[in-house]
Amino acid sequence: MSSSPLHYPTTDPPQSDLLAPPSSRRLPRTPPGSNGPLFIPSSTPRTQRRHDIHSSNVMTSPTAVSARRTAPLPRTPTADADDAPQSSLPAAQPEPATFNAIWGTNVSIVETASIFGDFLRNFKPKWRAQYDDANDIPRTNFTSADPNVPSYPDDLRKMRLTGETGLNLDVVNLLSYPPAEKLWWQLQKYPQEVIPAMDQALKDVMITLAEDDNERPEIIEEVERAVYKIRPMGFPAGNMRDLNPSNTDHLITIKGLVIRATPIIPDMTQAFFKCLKCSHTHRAEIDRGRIAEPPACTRDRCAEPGGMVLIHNRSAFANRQVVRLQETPDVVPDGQTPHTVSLCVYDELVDIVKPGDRITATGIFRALPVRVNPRQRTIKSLFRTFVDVLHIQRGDGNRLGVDPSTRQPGERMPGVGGTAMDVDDEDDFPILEDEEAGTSRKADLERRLKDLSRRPDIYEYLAKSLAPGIWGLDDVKKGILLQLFGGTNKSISRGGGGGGPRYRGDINVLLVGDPGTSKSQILQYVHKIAPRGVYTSGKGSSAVGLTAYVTRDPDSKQLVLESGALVLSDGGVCCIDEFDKMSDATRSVLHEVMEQQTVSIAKAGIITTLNARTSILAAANPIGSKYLPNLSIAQNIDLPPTLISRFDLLYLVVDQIDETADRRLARHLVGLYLEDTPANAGQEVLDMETLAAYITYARSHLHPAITEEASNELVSAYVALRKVGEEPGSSERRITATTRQLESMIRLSEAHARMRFSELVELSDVQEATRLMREAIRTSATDPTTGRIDLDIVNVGAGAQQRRMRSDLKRELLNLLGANGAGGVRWAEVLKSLNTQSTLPVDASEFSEVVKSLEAEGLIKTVGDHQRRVIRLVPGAQ
Amino acid sequence: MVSAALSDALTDPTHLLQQLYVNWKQSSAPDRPPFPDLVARHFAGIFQTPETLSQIPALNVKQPLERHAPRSLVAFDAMVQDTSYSPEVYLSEIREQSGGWGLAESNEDALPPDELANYDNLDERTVLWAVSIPGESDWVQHPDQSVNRTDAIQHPSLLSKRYQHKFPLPDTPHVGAKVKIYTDLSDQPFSPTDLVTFVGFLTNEMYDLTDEPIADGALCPTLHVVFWKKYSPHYLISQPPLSDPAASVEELIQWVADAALGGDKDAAEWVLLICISPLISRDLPIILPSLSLTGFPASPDRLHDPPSLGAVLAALFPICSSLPLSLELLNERSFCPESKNEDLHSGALQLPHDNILVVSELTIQEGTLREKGLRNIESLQTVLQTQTLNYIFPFSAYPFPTRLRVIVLTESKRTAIVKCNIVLPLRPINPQKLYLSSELILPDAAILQPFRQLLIREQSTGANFLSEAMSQHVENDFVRDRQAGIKVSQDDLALRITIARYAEFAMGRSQVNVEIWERTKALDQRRQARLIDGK
Repeated sequence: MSSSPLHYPTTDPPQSDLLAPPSSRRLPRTPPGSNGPLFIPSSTPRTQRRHDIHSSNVMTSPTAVSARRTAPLPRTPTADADDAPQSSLPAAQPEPATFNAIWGTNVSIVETASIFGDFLRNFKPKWRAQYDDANDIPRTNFTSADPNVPSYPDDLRKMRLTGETGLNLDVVNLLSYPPAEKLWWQLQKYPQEVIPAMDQALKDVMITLAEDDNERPEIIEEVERAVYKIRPMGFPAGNMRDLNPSNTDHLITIKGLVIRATPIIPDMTQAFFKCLKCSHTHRAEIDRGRIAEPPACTRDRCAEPGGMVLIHNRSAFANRQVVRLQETPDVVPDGQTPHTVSLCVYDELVDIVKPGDRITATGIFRALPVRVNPRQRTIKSLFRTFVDVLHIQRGDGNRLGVDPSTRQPGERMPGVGGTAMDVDDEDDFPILEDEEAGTSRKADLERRLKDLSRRPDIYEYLAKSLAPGIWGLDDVKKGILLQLFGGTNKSISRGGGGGGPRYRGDINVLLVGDPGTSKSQILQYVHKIAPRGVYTSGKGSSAVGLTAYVTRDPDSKQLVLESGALVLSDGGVCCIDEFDKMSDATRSVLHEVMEQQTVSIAKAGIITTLNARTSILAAANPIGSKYLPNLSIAQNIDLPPTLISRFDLLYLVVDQIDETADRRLARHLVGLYLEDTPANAGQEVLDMETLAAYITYARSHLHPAITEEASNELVSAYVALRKVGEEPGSSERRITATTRQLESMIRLSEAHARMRFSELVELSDVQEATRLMREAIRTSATDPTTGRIDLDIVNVGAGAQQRRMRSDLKRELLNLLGANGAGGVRWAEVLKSLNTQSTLPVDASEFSEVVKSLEAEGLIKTVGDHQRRVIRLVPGAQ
Repeated sequence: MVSAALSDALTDPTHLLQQLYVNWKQSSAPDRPPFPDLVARHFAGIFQTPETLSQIPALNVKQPLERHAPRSLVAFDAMVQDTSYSPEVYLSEIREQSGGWGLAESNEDALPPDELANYDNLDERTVLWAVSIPGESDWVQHPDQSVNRTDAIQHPSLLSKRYQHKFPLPDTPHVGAKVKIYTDLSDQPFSPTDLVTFVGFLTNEMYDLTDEPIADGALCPTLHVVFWKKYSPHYLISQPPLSDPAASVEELIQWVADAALGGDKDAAEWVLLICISPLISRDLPIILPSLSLTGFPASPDRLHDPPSLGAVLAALFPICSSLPLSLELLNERSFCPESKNEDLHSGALQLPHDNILVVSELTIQEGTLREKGLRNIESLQTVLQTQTLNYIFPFSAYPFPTRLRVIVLTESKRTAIVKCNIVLPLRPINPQKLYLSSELILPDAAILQPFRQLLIREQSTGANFLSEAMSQHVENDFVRDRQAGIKVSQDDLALRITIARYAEFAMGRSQVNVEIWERTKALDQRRQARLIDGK
């Protein structure tokens, strides 16, 4: 904060040169956040300093101007560009070692500064590339295209142009530049001393560079006045749990989640005192968090004791903010609660992080004694610890990092630097505990997963590892496995509207079957490993609703819970048990979720549509609690066909009594309990964590595209599936496949390719997808009366056979009524006479369906109720 | 010698500590242990036996902070509630004396001016919040006293009220304290809900020491730990082994049935089986123990009389708590622990492992369940299904493993709100005794003791509880039943094996035999018959 315009004449001789001309003090204030003259009062030549370093020995020498004129540093000639970098330090560097060594060490400040100056001038990206290759890490991108051209001068020019004062320094560059290597550990051990030296070196280079570029004098002057700051970054991030007193005053890097940030705190950096008697003024700098108030007037002639008062609005303040950083879930050890540390951020870094951001912060770890009383010198035996932050890197926006939409477009990270990335692209691995070894462990895991993916039996292996405790159900497991991998989401760029339609990649699976067949357990298992899974029971509580009611059931007079709307997690798997018992309201939400992948919420007059890209794994019980094989699936479960048809795969899990199967099942279960571990005899399975990691990796890294060959196969498989419905010698067609099935096949093929870690969907993928589809259709869409596959059973709830029967029934009914004239016929009588005509008995419910539909067509009407119902033809309708 | 050391440690532990420090400073052996380790070893040595340990005054509801002299040595049987505090950095030496264990905080003269602060002497201590064990039965806390609940409630500690949000059970008096541990815990950190006996100096300090002193003084009991050990209830000590476990089991079932379940012996057996269920790995498709007693007749005086089951189980098991659900409780209180302003508030489900939780739906009435209530029901459901409880921190939730044995009482014929894995319709013969209208008359402690002992034996890890022959038997049995057209599904079989395992445990056998298997099967068949009956 700059001084207020209130005028207090300064009479303090040593600093009288700091008095700003009145005109400058009336400059309009620039809003905070911009790098305007609020921080760099361009015409106020007050000694600026950075507030994150409370160094005891501020560098005063070497003045760049004199050094520059006497001994210009030689530049590395372009001729040796292919050689290893040589130290181009001038031999004639004057080094008064007694003055500048860090106390207790042999680290010379001057030497450090000159090494760093050399680094800034001569570091070339190619050395970093060599270093990256040697250490087997991906190459770092630099802004400058030519790896043989020193990269920093460009950055420095950019700083000069933009007025930016911070230089992000990737410390790995120090490591890859042999002459500067030792700065790497000096910086970590003595940041307090080394950073001011580096700042000074940076300023010197800035000035030289500006002069070499023949800048206008006022620009050079501005450069000379500015405070340049090194913002180091790129040290391996440690765990905040490992911070301990031995780290005090060292440079550390930690990762975490911002949970709280205080408002900006004005931190006094320079106090302005005025004598009440003689109006003499005095300035006092802050020293290790304290300001020495002069006991008496500093003017010898006055020396009035206790007469100095603090003038607040002439004192200088810095922006400070305290941020609470919490460990991210991936580094918290199992069974532990996350730790938090305080970060102090200063100046430009204030307000660039918001609660919820994942950041990597580099700073100096400090421990300050806690005072018993602010007015006393006695301290508690306790120390307060915090980190004075020098550099902040914000995390990836894909997960709990920054939501870019919450930021102003102009708001960006301060500082200039070739390798400084705003976003650190890190993979979201579920098992990553130790960040110290993070990179290597991540690579290790990646390698392991890739090895796994090369197994020829990977498909079988993974399917077996899914819910190993549940015996059998191989195809069901395979289907669910593919669901977990999922297809790719596609949006067609051509077409009308906003960029054409979007096609979902999520695969929905429905399990229907007898109670006690472990459906719920499969669901629970999937819930455990699926990313962002939700487990809910259709009947009981919903996942997270808005409200629900506890009411008395009107029939049973018992308390029931009526759940509210279902809120699904975007990008996860939603497991719904007792799908058939779900309330209509929830079900209607699912219609939208399963096809449009959105949820619409109406509240307080506002309708919002939220993304709900979730795949659904549901389990439903048959109506009569036992699946009746001689009825079709639509008759067996109490679900609207429109909803059933939205499932890509529908499996019947029927509890069949079969001695060998039963025996194997019993043995499997007993064996399981014998061991108390899921290691079944002779069956090796993948543990849950690795399986989850495998799926997560595939989902985030692979987006397979369909090859020519595969697309041909898809077409022919679809045609073949449709052909099943054609019957030779019959004009009637059963529907065996619709475009929905084709889309499902595409999704399944993609998921299968993903499972193989392949970027291409190949023939084998399509073949397996087709097989799975056919299996699922065979079990679910077989007409129980004809034994043929008829997808309309699933799609509209009645198969071709049934439809034909209905139309026969309709015709006969109309005939019957027509024969009886206008008087109408009693319900029971119609049924009876129809039964006498037909070879098959006419089902009563089927009959009422027919009557209802004829009524709807306006051909007949019924009068009376119950026993006395009479059916009449509507006169003139035909 | 030992007794002298013991009385020294009890009368003037501070002096002993300083003496230890002087001795430690003088010994310049290169392999001398860190001072906190030495302290822990020394004090643990003095209080090695349970008898000596019991001589340390206890910190509990009956003897809260106010009843102890400042800096006296106390023992605190506690549940770790909150481990999310940052470690504190303190000066380990001040003027040649130890600066830890609250020595400097309590003695104004010992405080150093800031120039004396030597950064080399900085050390770190772990800070956590511990509360008295929620749901700990009275007979465990006061083995030699007759049960007298009212006494404790008459003296609610003021301090405990201020920190009531750190205790899972609402409206229950408790003691909470900040615990500071000086030994290095990085190898074996405490987790929330760990049960630990902390021994240390009891002081009354500022809640947040880094704050400046405030007039109203947010003081809290603080325990500077000299040593700690895993909590083990003392009542198990020196009891003769039971002569005939099987007979005692029969007796026990009958007693529970009569005292709490209206004479329904099957229900009593199921309840006990759930209560003793041994730990089973979470990955298996095993029915985790949770039992719903449906058709529980409503109390004539619905809201005031608690079901007697809670009291009966509390008389038998060391840790047992009740959760009477009501719309108010569900909508107002959080079941999951939740960190608010960096203070981890406890949730009703933050309970120690092996806790028996009697959830009662009987107290619930018609009304609206708000979002919080729904979340609470969901958390309870998750605990039943996966035995994990989420701890809510800003921007993230952390699942913690838990091990609660849940029994739900509901009036409905089917499970209404909380879904359990095992459903049993209650068939009381004598419904009057289901509720605790007056004080529960407990049999003599001498009669209860064998029961307690029977129920809390060392838990076997339980490998090989089925012999080869027995597994063959189970297998054949299953196939035979299915062929005979008896309805047994895969889930039924899994449940029966699990229950057989509990039963084997209850009988004190190491392996399931045919008799136990048949008994379990019959028990489960009777349960299924009741279910069909109920429809």
